[in-house]
Amino acid sequence: MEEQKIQVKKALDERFMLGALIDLARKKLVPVHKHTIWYYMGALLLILFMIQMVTGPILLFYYKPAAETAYQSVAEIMVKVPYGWLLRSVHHWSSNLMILIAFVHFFSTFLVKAYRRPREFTWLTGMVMFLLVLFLGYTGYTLPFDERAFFALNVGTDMPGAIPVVGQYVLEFLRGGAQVGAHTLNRFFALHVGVLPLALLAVLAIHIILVQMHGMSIPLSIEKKAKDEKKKIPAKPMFPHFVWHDAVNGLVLVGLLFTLAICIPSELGSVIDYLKPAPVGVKPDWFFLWVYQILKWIPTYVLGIEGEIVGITGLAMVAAVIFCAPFVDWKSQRNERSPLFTAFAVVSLTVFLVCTAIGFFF
Amino acid sequence: MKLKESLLSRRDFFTGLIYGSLGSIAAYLAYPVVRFLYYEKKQPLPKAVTITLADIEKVSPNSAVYFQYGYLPGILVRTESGELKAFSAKCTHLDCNVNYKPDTKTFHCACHDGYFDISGKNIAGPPPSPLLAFTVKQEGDVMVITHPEEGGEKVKTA
Amino acid sequence: MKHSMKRILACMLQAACAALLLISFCASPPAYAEETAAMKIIPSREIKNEEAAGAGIISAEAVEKARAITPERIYWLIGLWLLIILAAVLIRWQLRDDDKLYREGYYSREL
Repeated sequence: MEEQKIQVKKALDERFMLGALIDLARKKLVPVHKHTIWYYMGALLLILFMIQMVTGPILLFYYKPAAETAYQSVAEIMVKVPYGWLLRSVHHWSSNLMILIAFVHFFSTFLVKAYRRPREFTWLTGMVMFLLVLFLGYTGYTLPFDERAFFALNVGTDMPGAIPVVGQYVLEFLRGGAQVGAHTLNRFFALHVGVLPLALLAVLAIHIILVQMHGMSIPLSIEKKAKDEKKKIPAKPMFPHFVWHDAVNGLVLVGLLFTLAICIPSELGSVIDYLKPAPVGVKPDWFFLWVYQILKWIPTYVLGIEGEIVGITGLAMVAAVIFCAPFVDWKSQRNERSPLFTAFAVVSLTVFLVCTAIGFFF
Repeated sequence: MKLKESLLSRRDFFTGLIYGSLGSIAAYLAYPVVRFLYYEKKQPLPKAVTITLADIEKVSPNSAVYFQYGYLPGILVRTESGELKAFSAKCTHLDCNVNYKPDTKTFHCACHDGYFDISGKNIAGPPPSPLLAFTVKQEGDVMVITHPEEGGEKVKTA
Repeated sequence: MKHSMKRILACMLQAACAALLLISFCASPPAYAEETAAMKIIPSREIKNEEAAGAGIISAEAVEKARAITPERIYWLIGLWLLIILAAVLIRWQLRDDDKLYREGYYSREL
């Protein structure tokens, strides 16, 4: 058995330089401390993304992306195609879990300041992917073109219209015209199936390469403690220990995913009626409830400017600060404690949770 | 004969068990995916198709017209003697639509030069079997054309 | 044969081949398919099959029925969880063994 293993290794090494790759991989160590659990989020996101890349194209076999046929094709997937309900529900729940874990990954890295030198570009690529994932989720649930999707399209494409100067152009670009219609569905389909996944793949490749290059970031508090106690931070190899850990986490995640998909299958709203008023209680999907709630609270006019513009500009400024955190938080760049940014992170997490909860229950 | 050394170490056996269980999970999850992809959406064919006599009159002897039978293209030919025959217009070779040639009184498939005679039998070229024949019957003031499996009895070609 | 004669003969042969090629292009049958005289299409009315009568717009009730949880689905889910638990237990056993090896320095020796 051993000789065969060596033979196979030699054959692969000759053709694919596998030996060099394995050497590189063996050197990777993952620090073990009380915050190690947050390291698992990235692998979970990758597993969910791979599930999406499988279930998505599979659903594409039966989904008909035109305004007249989209709704019925989704109904056919749910009712007629064998296990169509299961695969659609898996795709839907996987996207929800992916967005949830993306929030967890974002907030955990933000709170422990993993964006410090030299990981600024890991942070930037991560933030870009976060936006892409949110946009993917949004474009995805407009594709069945049911009533809920129609209102999501209307409101979601109207908000960028509030951006000063370029707002109208952005709105017309997203809608494919002045009004939401067949063209809008085609665009959102192209975005969801083509543009966004490819963009996500490209940025993901850069992100993963950077993470492998720099290794895992260790929170400042742990580093300080180790320096003070003159102890080395224990670390375990990625192969095989953390690969097995990721495998177990992945398996539990898949189990959870299928449990949700079977017990709470995806819904299909009613057919679009262009002339009906918005139904009472129409809300965006959960990951945008915080935006919805904040915009609801802003008064119609703030200091003479339209409330909507104030809201969107305000949110954009906060987003800009978060995007540029590595370059703005100079204290953590110097590996010092940065209570201001910690407070900022805690406040944004609280606002997010509270607004989402209020938006959900009221 | 007892071996001095085990062919497989305990560790390798265990690793094999792990890969086996992961593979079984993959197969378990692959089953719905495979069933999903092999969805035979049975497109039903109509029991029969009716054509008004007025339209039938317009078909002159030794000429043919096309008609739609569900998702199948059909070809209706009036022979020189005035008899009406209907066939599926799909060539039995590779499914191209056939054409009627009045000069030779044959059906010709342009894709690979296949020929069928007036009774639908394959006479030249690659087609392996005759054209599927429909039954043509007048019922009241319409001509009823029936697919041999859907409605009428199987018609044997000459 | 003198060298110049050979050259002239070679040129003439080349010219003849080129001419033949050109003529063959012009005289060959056209590359596009000949247009066949369009045959008339006459309208036909379908007498639908009884089974086909059901196939139409899928109603909201049908979608709700497809969403309902059935016992078979729960059994399938339980089967999945059993397989997952089995794999997870095996992997954690392997991890225990790997941890022991790591503590004994097996993995650092390889680096």
